[in-house]
Amino acid sequence: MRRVLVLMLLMIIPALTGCAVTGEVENQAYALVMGVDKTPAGGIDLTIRIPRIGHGDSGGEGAVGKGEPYLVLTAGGDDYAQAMEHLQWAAARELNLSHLNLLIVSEALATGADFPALIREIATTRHLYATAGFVVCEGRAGDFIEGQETLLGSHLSSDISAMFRHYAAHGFIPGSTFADLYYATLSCYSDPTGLWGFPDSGEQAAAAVIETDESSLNAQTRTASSRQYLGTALFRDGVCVGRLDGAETLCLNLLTRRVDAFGFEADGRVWALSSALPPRVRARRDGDKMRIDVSVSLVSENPGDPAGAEAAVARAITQVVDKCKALRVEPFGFAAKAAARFATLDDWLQYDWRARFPEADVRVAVHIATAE
Amino acid sequence: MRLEMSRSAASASLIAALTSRLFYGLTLETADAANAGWMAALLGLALSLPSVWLMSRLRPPARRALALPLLVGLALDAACTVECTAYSESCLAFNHVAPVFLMLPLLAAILRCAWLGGDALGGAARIWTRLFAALMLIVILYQLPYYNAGWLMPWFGAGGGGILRAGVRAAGWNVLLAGSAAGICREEIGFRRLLRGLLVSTAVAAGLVALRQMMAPAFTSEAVTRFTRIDTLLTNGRAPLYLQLPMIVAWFGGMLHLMCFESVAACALTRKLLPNVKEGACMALGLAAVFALALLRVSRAVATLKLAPYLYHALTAAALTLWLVKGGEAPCAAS
Repeated sequence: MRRVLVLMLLMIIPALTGCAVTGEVENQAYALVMGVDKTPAGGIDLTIRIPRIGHGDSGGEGAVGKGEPYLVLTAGGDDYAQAMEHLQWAAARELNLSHLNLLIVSEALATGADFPALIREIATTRHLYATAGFVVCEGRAGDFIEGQETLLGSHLSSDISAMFRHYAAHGFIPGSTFADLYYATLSCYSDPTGLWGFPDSGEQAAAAVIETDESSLNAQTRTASSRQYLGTALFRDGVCVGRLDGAETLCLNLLTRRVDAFGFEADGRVWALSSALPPRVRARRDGDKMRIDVSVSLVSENPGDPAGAEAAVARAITQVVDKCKALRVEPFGFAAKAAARFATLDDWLQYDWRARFPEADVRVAVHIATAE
Repeated sequence: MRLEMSRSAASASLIAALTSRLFYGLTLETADAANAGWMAALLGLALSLPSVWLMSRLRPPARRALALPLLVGLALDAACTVECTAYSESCLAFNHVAPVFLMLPLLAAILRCAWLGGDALGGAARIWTRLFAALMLIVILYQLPYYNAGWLMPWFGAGGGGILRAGVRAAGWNVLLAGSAAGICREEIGFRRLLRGLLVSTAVAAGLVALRQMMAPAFTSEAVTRFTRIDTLLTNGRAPLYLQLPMIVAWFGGMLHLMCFESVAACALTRKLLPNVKEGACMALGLAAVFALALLRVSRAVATLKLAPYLYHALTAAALTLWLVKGGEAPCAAS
């Protein structure tokens, strides 16, 4: 019996070739950033940025990638699948999307009716693990990627992660990933968001002011980067329907999570604030109407009575809620709380939250405590 | 006998295998309960208890007869598990490799496991349950900031009908694996020990199903496929990518244990059905059944998919019939 088993195992060995065809690291083209554009003819253009192997070894003989550390490749096709096929060819190595840091789509594509189908196609691309940040950019995504540079001489992947962590902690951008967009497109909760990206106008000015939109940010700041990220792209049913500027994005963030530190202008002064706790949201059903009570707790670094600041923050948040109601978009995460008022998903879907949100009674209360 | 195992080994194996079966079944095989999968696991426990009690009280001749429906169920379920494991390998890394080549290493592992015997499997299960707990602790701690409890709402998910359908599926797996654990044990295992295994497995699986639901919302779109489910299960896109490693180790370790337990139990039950046949031949027969069903991909056949929801009904009906025909007894089982 033992001999038979050993013989059987030996016979199986030649068949265990699964690992033989996996690629060596040198044979992989690791895309760090991918851009998706719509061509004038209705096709799809894909642009990727990949690191060049051998770059970075100072003066290393025969380094393959002397010069530019990253390579930008673009390939087009009639649809996403064909463009991806062409990109595989253009990469000349095994295209690997597992380390994708950033997915950028042009505004023209994100506002198109066929974008939801494209989201699903992108999400089901093999080995694209959807952890990438998701950006909607002004102009062509391909051009946006070509202008993206590293600031501190570090790797592009760590540079992007550090930048987004910093921006999200201060409330400049929503903390959205492509997975959030994908899940929200397939499910029945709140609407997804994306980061808003735009090229720097190149004008020179003073220090950054937090409560501002990107045009005044450009006018008042000078940065080393020619690509900026500030604000939010709003989606309804998988289609981009509007934007929030920097200040509005801060209000959105205050309603969805903790913000580490931010400045807010009220009573003629800038208040240095931070979230004490995540916001508390309660939903109550009042007949067919939903009442949402939101309580935002903040801590101020400044001395003095914060009553004026409390009213100003509450007013700003309410304005953002009203703007989203007008756009029939609910990116605040209220849906999950409201869904708790229903027994089953069918009841919840029948209620049609997206259509009912504009009628919802949203009340915002802001409490600011002064730090000791 | 080499294929049988001690009470404690059977108990540990039951916990390791059933936890994996419930989790993989409720997250991948059936989406009937939507975001109330954890509730279906609890309902499955409640539904399965009378059947498991009945099985544990059957007289020895009746128990021997019960081995036949259990064997059929085990062979089919082990083939399903092999196919699903190969499919998840394909989704993760080996999409360019034919499914049969992904199944062969798994079948080789089963062969080796059966050769080592039931007690070795039980020992491995004891180690695995501890390792699994450590892996899940790492995953849960790192994912803590990303869990969204709101995605468990509405509480009753797809509604009573959906929860009941998923609960019946879960009850089928409970009855199959608890019955097999009783069948593979060389001593009397007793209902109380089986109950403990069912309770632990259900509690862990229900918790894991709920946590998985808090990482990815219930999909209400019709465009959701098995690939989407497995892709969002192993790499949900919201947690850091490095968590893939512990999650994948936990997933494949659990699946490997499940398929080995089911296959070894199939061999042991074959031996019970054919007491005059040598153990080696019974092992060959049991494994041949599992291998043939897996390699022929019977688990993906339309008829199998249609029959799968009736596992609970079939096993309960078999146990009840045997009780009525051959009678039950109240053995003084050590528990």
